[in-house]
Amino acid sequence: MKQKNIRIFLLMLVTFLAYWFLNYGVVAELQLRRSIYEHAQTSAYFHNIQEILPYRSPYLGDASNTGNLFYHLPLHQYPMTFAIEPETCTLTVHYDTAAKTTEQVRENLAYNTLAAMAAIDNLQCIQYEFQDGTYCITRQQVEERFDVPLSALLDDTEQWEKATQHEIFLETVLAEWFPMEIDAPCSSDSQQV
Amino acid sequence: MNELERHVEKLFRHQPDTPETRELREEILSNLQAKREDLLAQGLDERAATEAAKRDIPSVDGLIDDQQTTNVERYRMACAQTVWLHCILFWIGTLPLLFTGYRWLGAVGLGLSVLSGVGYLLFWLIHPAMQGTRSLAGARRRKMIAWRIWGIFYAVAALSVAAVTFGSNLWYGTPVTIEGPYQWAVLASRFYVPLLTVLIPLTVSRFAALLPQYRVEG
Repeated sequence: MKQKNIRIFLLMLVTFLAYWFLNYGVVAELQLRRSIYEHAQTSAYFHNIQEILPYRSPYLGDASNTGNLFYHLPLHQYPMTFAIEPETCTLTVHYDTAAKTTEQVRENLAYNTLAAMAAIDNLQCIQYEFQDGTYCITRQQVEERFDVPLSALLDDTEQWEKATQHEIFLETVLAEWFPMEIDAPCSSDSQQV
Repeated sequence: MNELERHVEKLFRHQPDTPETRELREEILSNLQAKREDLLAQGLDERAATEAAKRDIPSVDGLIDDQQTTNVERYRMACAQTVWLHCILFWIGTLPLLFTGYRWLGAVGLGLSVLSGVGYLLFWLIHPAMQGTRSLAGARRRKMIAWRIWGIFYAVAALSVAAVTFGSNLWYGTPVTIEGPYQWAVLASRFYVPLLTVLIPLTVSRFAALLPQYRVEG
């Protein structure tokens, strides 16, 4: 029995070492990488566009798909609700926060606008409502900046990164699409989803 | 090994290997052989005579005294050691779950292993010498009950997991999509976690198997 006790104790020791290595080594490292990756997904400069590819759709009307799309884009960490106006193909994203207190809000909104219009073919207009005002942006405004159809940008990740994640793009569109002075609400005639 | 020897082997399959049972086994085999010779002499063919002899003794449960004088002190220590070993095996079984949402089970495995180890150590230090009688049939019955309860538990648990996971696909007739190795691992872990409880009936089975080893002769 003593021999068996020693063998069991050694087995427990080996198990403990394996547990320690896996739990505090491998799993902790994976969690750290995951949290760094998740943090990167909150910024237009580091976002991985592959995350939204499953939510490409020709139509805005699929509310669940539209919601999921925005939950995989920067600013997803802020509470938001959606409203769709089917007649004008307008999407309203209501953030329960003030734009001026939101981190890198203008850069992220510019990125999200391009991503949403590239992913949803008939999305004509997006309104971003904040506690302190509203930004409105139309498809025409966005398309003016690109030579190719917006949906084609998502077909090639490299092309997308060249087009959007370069600071020049974000900086140049910010003044035009999302000026520092935020407007009053554009419209309230929309259908809540 | 002829047909009758196989039959006797089967009768004693779950009996402890003791001088009494060995003697009884020899006696039953010679009785059955004599019975078969007798029936052959009466004109039955070999197959019918063997079958008739086998029907004569279908079980030995009533022939063996299942109350065993046992070194209870050492038997309990062996049982405590088994519990300790099985807690460590449970802990090892939880290691793959560290990569899933069941990571907390690793801590449970660690806790159980340490607690059962400390319990066994205390038992090792304080072990009053004791002898008593233990029922072999009772131990076998507990083993059978443990396996039946576990079988029902696992069937219910696995069916529940399947219903929750695939229920809507079945109901709406949509295809099941599992993307990538991580999704497979998450799905497998849902069936694997209740499977870990198999160590409970294994422990009870081991208790039954240990009992004859701590028989006190005379």
